[in-house]
Amino acid sequence: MEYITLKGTKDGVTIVLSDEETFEKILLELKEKLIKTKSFFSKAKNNLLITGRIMTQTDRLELEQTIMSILPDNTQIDYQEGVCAEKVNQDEPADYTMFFEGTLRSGRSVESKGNIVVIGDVNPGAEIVAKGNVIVMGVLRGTVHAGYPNNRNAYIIALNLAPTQLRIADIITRAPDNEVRKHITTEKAYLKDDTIYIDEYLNKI
Amino acid sequence: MGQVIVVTSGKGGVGKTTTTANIGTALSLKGKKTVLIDTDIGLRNLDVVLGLENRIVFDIVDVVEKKCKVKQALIRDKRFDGLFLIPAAQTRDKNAVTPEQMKELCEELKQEFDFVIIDCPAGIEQGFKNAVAGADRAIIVTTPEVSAVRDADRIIGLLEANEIDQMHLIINRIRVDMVKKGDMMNVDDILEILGVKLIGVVPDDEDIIISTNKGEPASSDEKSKVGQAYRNIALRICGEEIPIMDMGSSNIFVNAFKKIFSRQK
Repeated sequence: MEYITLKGTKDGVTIVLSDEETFEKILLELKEKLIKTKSFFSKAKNNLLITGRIMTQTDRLELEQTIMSILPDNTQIDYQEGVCAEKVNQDEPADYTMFFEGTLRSGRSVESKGNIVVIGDVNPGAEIVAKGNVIVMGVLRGTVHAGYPNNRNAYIIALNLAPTQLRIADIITRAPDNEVRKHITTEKAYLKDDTIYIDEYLNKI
Repeated sequence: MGQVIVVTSGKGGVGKTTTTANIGTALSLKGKKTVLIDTDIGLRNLDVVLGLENRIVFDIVDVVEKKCKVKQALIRDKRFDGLFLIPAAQTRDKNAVTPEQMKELCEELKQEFDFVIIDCPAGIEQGFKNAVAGADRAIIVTTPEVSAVRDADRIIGLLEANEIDQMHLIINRIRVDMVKKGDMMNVDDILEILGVKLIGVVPDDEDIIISTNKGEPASSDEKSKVGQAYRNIALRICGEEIPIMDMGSSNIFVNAFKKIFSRQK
């Protein structure tokens, strides 16, 4: 049981979390360690730097609550995740975004373990697959898969949403046959109760 | 046990995909269970012509790579019962499939379908080799142009080398008025060069452009002349004897004049 390392630096304390164990176990170990070393932390100001593991927003929240329950209120928590960014958690999107400038033409496939932003159009026959969200600053006519493979919180936004097919996590949808679009606005597609909904995103840009 | 038919031409743009879609539709209207396979990986079109593009989830590459079952990749047509499509992959290339894998796929589909129709890509490279691998018979599409006929001739030679003996010819986009004036090759001229049995002649018509763009095959339109031509071809594929539409090929006078003039030159 040695998944956590505490290091004292001139700026504060660096906590290195292992990424080879479940988050629950790490949290448990951190709790124990913090209670043992509680007296070591100053009463004036503490700077903590968390690193070594990529965490989701919910993981972070849990971690912060654990730390705050033990350490005094004046503790400042920062994250540094660049150390092992290539080891991305399979289920949740990483916190980085890939930009693609230009038109994505038929046959082109863009994949990312984070989010994808396209500055341009996505034509029919082109394909975007992202673990996170997808934003198209142009006309989306092709196929987009956001939240691949199972992130149900992912969404898709396009200035003009006219896709061949939309996929979020494990749900697939397509426009009804013979649909006539009357007005073009920015729209957002998201998942709710196993159905992909499309709402107007903004009235004015 | 069904038949596997490859639709091929050598030259691009002569109407292979349109022919595949229309024959498939006509066969399914005849009550034959038909599956169309698009082997033009990287430049798929058959799904668009059939209006099924937005239904694609799995494609032929997923099938041969065993990422999904054959049944999962079969797209049921939205209008015609008994018509199915296996689309090509768009983000891959022709080398993603091997002739052996195609053979295996055709064998499997033959068990369940009356007709397996393969839309062959233009050219004579990997895509062509994949498309013909599992075929029992071939339909060659050509237009009344010297270049298209030349390429069709090359294709026929390659099909013979692949031991596909049963070959039929479709002459597409013929214009009766031009043939009558002697400005266009007629049916007999083409047959004389290619020496393959004719299975149909399709007139050049605006209808086909409209129906192709709409994603609704012309052979489902009772009034369309092109549709009638394709429906007749489907019947001939099933073995029925139906006379070929007259496309001005029997214009003896024009032919006679042409022969006289060509001799004088």
